[in-house]
Amino acid sequence: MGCRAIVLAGAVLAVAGCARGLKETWQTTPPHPGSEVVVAVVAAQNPDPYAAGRQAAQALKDKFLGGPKVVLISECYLGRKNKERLLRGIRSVLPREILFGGATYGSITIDGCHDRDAVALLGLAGDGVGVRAALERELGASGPWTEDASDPLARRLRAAGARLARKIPTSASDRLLVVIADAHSPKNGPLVQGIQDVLGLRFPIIGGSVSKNAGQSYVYYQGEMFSDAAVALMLSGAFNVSLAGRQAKEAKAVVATAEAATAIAHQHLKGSPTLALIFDCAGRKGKLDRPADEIVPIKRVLKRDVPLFGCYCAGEIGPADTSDASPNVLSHGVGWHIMIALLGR
Amino acid sequence: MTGCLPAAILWLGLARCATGSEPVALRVENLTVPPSSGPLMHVLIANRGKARYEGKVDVSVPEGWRLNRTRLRVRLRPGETRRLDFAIERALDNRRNRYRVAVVAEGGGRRVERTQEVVCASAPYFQPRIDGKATEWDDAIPVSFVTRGKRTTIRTYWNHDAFCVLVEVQEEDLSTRRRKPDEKIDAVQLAIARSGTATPSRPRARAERHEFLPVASFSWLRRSRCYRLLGPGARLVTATQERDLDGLECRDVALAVRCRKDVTTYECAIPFRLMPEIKPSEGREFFFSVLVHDPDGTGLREWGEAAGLWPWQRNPLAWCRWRGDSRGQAPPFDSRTEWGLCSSRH
Repeated sequence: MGCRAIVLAGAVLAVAGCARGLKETWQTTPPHPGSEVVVAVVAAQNPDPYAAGRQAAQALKDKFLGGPKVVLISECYLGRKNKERLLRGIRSVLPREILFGGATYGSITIDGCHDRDAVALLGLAGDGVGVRAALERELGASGPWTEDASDPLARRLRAAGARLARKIPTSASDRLLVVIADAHSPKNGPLVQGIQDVLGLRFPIIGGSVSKNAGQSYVYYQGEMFSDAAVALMLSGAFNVSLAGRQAKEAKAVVATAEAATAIAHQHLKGSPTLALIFDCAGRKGKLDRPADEIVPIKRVLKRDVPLFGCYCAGEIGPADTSDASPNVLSHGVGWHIMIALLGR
Repeated sequence: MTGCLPAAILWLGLARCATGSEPVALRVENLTVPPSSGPLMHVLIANRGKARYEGKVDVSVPEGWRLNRTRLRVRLRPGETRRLDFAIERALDNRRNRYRVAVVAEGGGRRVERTQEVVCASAPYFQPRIDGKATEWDDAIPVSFVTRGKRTTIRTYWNHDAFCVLVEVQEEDLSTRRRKPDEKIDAVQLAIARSGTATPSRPRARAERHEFLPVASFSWLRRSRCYRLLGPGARLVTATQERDLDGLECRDVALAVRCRKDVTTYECAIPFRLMPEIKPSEGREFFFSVLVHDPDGTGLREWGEAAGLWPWQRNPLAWCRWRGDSRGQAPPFDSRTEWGLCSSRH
């Protein structure tokens, strides 16, 4: 009985990341103005999650001299055990400290949509980009969004958003905050408001909520799994960012809004795009018989092989396409959107 | 056995000719994901008259909700039905899963109003153990209705393998075995169809739906069984025939039935591989409906009626007949009501 309790406590500590004294903030070296930013995206599909993780991580590592500075993970394996095995596979190739991301309903790359039993990795490297990351645990976001529960939930999430943002010291070269949270729409709304209480209403924020399917809700921070948590990555450097978001709730509008959002982001980007970050709604994907139909116009608008890295989410963060979106606020936490951030120089 | 066919044809003819006294008919469709996640709300308006209809449609939603618009102007040809979209931009869920929505159509000097308690008919993602116990179903979204004082509650889950259904039937008695050939038995009849299909009006047409019939048994010698009454491609004339269930058993459907106090719980998992046209993914919409056969209690209970289908949407081809069913003279309501697969109610 005593042994069982010790084993259980050890497992709980390992899950929480406490077993190795996990710090809730992390950073790379700061960016150097004028230096290059290197981007690579890979994907792997394999019923064996360890093999897929290892394969994708090796493919990503091979694309960089000296390996990536930071890696964003989007994966769609079923169940905790498979997700743990996937992370083990990735960690067998790449250092755990640089691994962030979440469980999603599928990933987007230039090759299309990767959902069941697939993982996609985005790697960033080069002296031109710096990354600071933070983790906020115990958001207190579980429970239905009902009349009696929504106000307390919103208060907790807004406070959690502010705590998350305060963990990241700001700098003049900050360009984009990427947020991945266990906060199904509409809970991502107050979370973003809390972040904006610290960063301001016009700071570019993009992101998405992890899969809310039972047993699948995890965010990844330094290669570990967390539920009821949010991760933020502040990207800084001498690059430009352009954000756009469009909403669609019916099949016929999904493809058109993907094209429109990409076109708007492209039109407002100073310089040429070097990366398209996409946070798309899983509900939009569910309206399409072929999810790749939505990716075709994105590629068409970008006109060349700009690396795409995206995921299907349970809520999106970015410019809202709703009737009540305030023009003074750049990003909102909403649902049914495709959010696109183009990074360019 | 084939005596039902002429009656079906006659009913279809009458249904087609039927016109209401009001110029238009209104119905709010079921929501297919929780309202707090901001889905579209669809309002159906049908011109029941013989002249063009021109008017406006106003929608009122529960306090605290916001739509992208609350009014739409419409023009309808005689007999035309239009589906109007209203996007929910803010809403709160409730545990009862009942949302009061009022729709008013004004045109040609006439005002038509319909108030409905709209439900969210959606299956969250979960893999329940099929044991007849409702303990794992708290995170499912309950859809309840009352027929002659007795409650029926439908809950659904989905996972990548199966569409899972739990139906709780409040009833006095449970008849599980026929002792005489014409004796009726308790059962739950389920219909599932791809979105965008419609129940044909010709018996020679091909079916585009699946029908399953879980039937309870508490005998040591005979376990509870699920029968497959219909699949896509079959001639709809089959639906009019009072078939014996022998030979229709479908062992691919996992089924467990329990009876506690006055509630019988039917729990089943229908593999998606039996329904390849319905892709299991978040946000997917399809049609689903339930009939409850309670021969020694309420008789037939129809979710289609509770979901607000129009009276002329009764269709003898919408549900299969079988020997021992509780159908009366009037055909049941259509077997297509809106349903969806969502991620979670959390």
